[in-house]
Amino acid sequence: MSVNKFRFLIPTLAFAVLLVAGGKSAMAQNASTTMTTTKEPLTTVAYTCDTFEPITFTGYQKTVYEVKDSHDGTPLKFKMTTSWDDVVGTTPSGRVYKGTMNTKDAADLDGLPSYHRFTMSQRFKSKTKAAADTVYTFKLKIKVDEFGNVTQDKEDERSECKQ
Amino acid sequence: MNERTIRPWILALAFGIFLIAGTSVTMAQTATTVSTTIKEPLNFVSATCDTLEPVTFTGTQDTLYEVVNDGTGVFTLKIHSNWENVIGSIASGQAFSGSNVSDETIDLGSLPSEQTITVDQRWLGKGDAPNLVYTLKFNIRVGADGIVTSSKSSEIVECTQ
Repeated sequence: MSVNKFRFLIPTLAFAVLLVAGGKSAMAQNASTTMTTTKEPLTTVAYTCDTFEPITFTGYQKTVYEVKDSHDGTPLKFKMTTSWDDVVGTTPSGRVYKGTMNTKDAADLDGLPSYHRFTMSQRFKSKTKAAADTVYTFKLKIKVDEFGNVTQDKEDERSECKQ
Repeated sequence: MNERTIRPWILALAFGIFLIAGTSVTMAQTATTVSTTIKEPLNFVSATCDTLEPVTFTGTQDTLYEVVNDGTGVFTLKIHSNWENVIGSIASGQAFSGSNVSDETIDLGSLPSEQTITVDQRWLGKGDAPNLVYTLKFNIRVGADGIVTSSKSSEIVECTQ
């Protein structure tokens, strides 16, 4: 093969390499993320664990669900970000209990649709030293549909005194 | 001493008082933060919730404690927990990688202070299967200088929803 023939082959090869790389890049850019935000009101009456006063809550426990499909054969990525920052509890005597818990969790999903059950809690610290804390818990069932949209069903909601 | 001699002295005194008062206000409004990072080494054997295969958890559960003095004598403890350096391995090779990151704030009142805190990592089960939940409870002490020390009071891995 003469040098002249090589001259044509080298640009062709380089073009092919660029084409393949570009194709892969384009595939990577096709990753899609579906986000769902939920707001759960606190409807159960809780009690302080030292004076047994009722605590009335306002605000919502918020969760942002993300389902990311990279479309490259890797498992779907599920992310869950929870926040209790908007929750405020007050008692008749004027005590204030603020939600402060924020969490981030991640998991791989085998496929869609899927569903899962889990609990999430906020511990409201007692105002009295050594007294138990008020722990507010949601038990949730979440369903992720074939498009990555999440629906959330509350299966249980409770408040307990825990050390 | 005549009036003309006193005037500059009064002005100088007034300026001095303003200066001291201004400094005090600035000091009162200056917040300070003392940070402590504690890496809790893990070496704990549990079992998967479905096949009951032994899982060995290793790595460190990392917590950053920040004690904030807002400058008026109010102390707040910020707790940043991170499980990303934790891994659970089973014989078949599957791994449970920690992913949980959480933030929590506690009002301390005064220092020194003692608190009990709980941090956990959840691995989601599929469908009706339970979750694998690793829970650590710590007794922590915040010293008068804002430095945090902790001791693990309980460690449990359970299958729960």
